[in-house]
Amino acid sequence: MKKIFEYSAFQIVEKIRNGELSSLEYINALFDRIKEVDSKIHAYLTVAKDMALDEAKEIDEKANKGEHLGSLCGVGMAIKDNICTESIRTTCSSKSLSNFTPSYDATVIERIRKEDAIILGKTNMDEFAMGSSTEYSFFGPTINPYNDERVAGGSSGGSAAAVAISEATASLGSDTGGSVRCPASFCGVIGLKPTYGLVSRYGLIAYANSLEQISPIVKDVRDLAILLNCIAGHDERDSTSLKVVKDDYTRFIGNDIKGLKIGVPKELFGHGTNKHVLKRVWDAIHVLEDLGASYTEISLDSLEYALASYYIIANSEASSNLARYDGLRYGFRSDEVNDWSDTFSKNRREGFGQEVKRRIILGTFALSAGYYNKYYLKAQKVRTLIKKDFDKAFKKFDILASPTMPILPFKLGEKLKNPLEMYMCDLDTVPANLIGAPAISVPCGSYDGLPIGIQFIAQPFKEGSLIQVSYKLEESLQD
Amino acid sequence: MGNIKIGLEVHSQLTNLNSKLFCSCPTDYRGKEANSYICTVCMGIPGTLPVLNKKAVEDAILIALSLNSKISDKMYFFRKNYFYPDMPKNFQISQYDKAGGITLATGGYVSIPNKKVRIRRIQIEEDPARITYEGTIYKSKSSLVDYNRAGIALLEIVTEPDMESPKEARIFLQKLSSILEHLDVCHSYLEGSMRCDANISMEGGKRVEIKNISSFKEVERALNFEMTRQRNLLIKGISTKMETRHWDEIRRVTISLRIKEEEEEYRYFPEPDLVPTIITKEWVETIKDKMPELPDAHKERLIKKYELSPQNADVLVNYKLLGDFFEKCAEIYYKPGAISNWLVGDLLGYLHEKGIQLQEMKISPVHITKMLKMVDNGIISGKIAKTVLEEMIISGKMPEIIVKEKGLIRIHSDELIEQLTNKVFEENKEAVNDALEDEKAMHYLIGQVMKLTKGRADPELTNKVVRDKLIEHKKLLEKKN
Amino acid sequence: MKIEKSLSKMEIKHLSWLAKIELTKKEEDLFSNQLNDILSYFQKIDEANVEDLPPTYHVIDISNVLRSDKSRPPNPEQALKNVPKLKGRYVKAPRIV
Ligand SMILES: [Zn+2]
Repeated sequence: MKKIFEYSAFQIVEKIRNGELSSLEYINALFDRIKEVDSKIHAYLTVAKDMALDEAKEIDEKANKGEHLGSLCGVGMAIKDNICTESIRTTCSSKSLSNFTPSYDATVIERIRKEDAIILGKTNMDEFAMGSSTEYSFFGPTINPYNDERVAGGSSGGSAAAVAISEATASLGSDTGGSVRCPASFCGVIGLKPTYGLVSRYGLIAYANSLEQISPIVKDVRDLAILLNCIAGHDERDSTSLKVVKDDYTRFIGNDIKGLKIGVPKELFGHGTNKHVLKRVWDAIHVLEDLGASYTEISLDSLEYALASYYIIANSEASSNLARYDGLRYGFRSDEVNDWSDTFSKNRREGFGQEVKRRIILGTFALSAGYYNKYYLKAQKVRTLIKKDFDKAFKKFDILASPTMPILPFKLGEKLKNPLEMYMCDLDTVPANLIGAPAISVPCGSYDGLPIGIQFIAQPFKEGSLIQVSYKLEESLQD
Repeated sequence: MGNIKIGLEVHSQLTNLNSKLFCSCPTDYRGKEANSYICTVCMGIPGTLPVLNKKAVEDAILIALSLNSKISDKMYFFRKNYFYPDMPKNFQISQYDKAGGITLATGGYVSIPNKKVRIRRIQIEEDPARITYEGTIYKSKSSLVDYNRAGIALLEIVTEPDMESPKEARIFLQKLSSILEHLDVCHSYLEGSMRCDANISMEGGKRVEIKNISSFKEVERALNFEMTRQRNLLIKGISTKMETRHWDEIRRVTISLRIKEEEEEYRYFPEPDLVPTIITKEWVETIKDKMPELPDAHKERLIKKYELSPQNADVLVNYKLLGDFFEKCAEIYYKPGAISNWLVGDLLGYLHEKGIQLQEMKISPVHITKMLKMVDNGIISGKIAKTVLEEMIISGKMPEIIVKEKGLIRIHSDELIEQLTNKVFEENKEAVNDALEDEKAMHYLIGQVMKLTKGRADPELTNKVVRDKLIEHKKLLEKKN
Repeated sequence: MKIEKSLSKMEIKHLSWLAKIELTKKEEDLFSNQLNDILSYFQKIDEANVEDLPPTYHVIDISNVLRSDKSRPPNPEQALKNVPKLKGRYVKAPRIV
């Protein structure tokens, strides 16, 4: 028998709607769970218990009165700490925002609240989403729920771990170069990075604007469809938000995949890839084959430039995005020294962690006079090259498949000494961000108790295809 | 001494917009409490995003058209990265013409007497916040930031170095501001709405930038100072170095900023939060259709329709508000020439003398036309009318009220003037004797009568009475002899 | 791989000045090594043949996202909520010169 906090979101909604479950009882159970496990996992930075319990009571009242209940009614959600939540502290896991309490809700927060979701709290991450392990957090790392010596992945490590260990029923993260797919893979849950422009970025504290999307993390594919239905859609406050006809993603659940064509880019199965990861991913591809899909190994030559291109673009944008943290208008403020310039420099030295500083310096360099063409502009052109390669591939294939992560969840501290080695973890995830395409990580087994994820990438706006194939895989692996 | 080349970088707020460039905050922040006209977007609060104001683009296109510039068919916004306490995000959303960037418009010119000042480019950007100090900038321990201005739409107009004297720079700016005023997009009379950086180079010297010139009046001053400074250096055989200097309005000198080279490193890159704007021919056409009358056409019309002197027409075009005021007056009263003389001469002179802005004066066209009628009907003298005009500007009272309150009606009474003339003749016997021979002395006597009536005596009548009296006096003397 | 570009400590100092982040001596040393490793990896894109390709500044093909010029009441309370130091209604900043 599943415990109450272990249910999927769609089950919770169903049970609350038909009066089988009290929202308050369920939310209380989640907070008990948090109390029980979070001292070990450290998924949460802030819990909003009072607010959540009040909302749960309201939902119970609504249910009693027979009033309309939203599509996420009662669902307890954890929110990555770079998504602004009114009156709930939002830190980006940075000292520089350690005292920042937004005065507004991000668009996605408005949308999930409108559908009666309940926010449990804010989750740990790499500082300003810069990292792949959630170790670069001012508040300390999140621990992998499957192995307490290993990382949860990042940067949305808290959001993934919370769902994995049922401290939340679903969560929101953000994905700039793999930041939900990586921890989803390491924690054995599902993470989807939507098409760029599908979900509003309004209220997402920017790391690399042209690459990132707010992204759901869930326990099963059906929950993903429900959550995506809620958060996707045009927002006039975000100029990069697309006006697309709203789809119902649940309609892809259960559709068979006979005739589905899968491309398998060999560059995403590079020789650095862990052999157990390779095995599980190929097993999954063969499962899909058994269900009527076909696969072909292909080559996307430009992918060898993807990681460098990604890091140049991301760091350049970051160096500009993070300029605003000078201590005047919000956030951490140090004592004044000398003039404004020295004070800003001191403030930022004290407010930022090392990885953030490193990336800002790198980005500043890539944009600086004399290097712009060599780095930033070149990287953006490489992006075009990669996009062309993918466009070609999508003419032949419905989806592409690869490992989400080339490695198993690694040990805490293992990659902290060598930043480049940490960057290399993102090899398979960054291409989707560069081309703006949707990509998902779905659990496909484990090795030595450590979860492994398979990644599917589709053409922009083909989230439906990802849901369709992921659901079929999930169904088969559960049997 | 060698040739002078002056180029200008004009920053003009689009003052006629209702909202800021990238957020919905209102724009009438002047005179409002500090930090009361702000929102999360213009304060650069984390997570917020900019959305471009359509009217700002249209106003900018209108300006570019009026300056004969080439409108780009596509434009991008770029981030200009630099730290300063007046920057909410520590980058400015601006435009850039390098690194694949395209600004709103390029090329064009402004005609001034005897030449065309070429425009290099026109771009849209956001205004930073305003910094004030406790005490002076040098002594203040801290600075205070008011973000009300942050995010106001700003147009940067960059000229080629085509001006050859500070005076020419001033004339260019006057013309430009008149154009903007005619377009009804920037009202330069609003404090700080038009600001300017200037660069000046003289033959044998390097280019010097002068920043922080807060108004057009100051531009000529700053350039004159800089010209003299550079000239003195050249005389001594020292060549000026390439540098940026700051105009100190209070001390009226330029000061070297000693900016490190790297401070000019702005690390421009395309603003990822904004998408490109495609400017179609159709869009430009619909904007062009709204193009109002521009200064040159306006001047021509004033001369043709009202038979004004070119000098008066020039002033009325340069001061567009006054020009509009004139036309309203001219609709009411049939003497446009006289009206224009009054407005361009006495009215504008008085406003300048008192430092009053045109839009601050409290009178309507009816004030002026009524006053003129009173003069034409002989109710008040021209001299009295000047007093009445000044009073009207300050108090807004109608001329007939002022004349009544102050007892300024012209004295037409023969009796009274005769009485006063007698009195003057009594008291100025010598002058009376002189006046028999000397016209000047006669005018003195007339003046004395006028003085006793504080100018209200009908001059013609007084003239007649004094003359008659003198003739009488002469006859009397002849009889005696 | 041939390392074409390496960052000297002077350059790191300059970059940290541009980025307004004071670095300790130790950080300068550490960063100088790490950043050079990373940069030499970045050099990989030098090989990419992209001569005739335009840059992908915006991954989605949309343009002309414009808002009508309507003003809404400002919201200073929201904007000022997190200001660390106010003086009256002004935001207090360090001295300029
Ligand atoms: Zn605003």
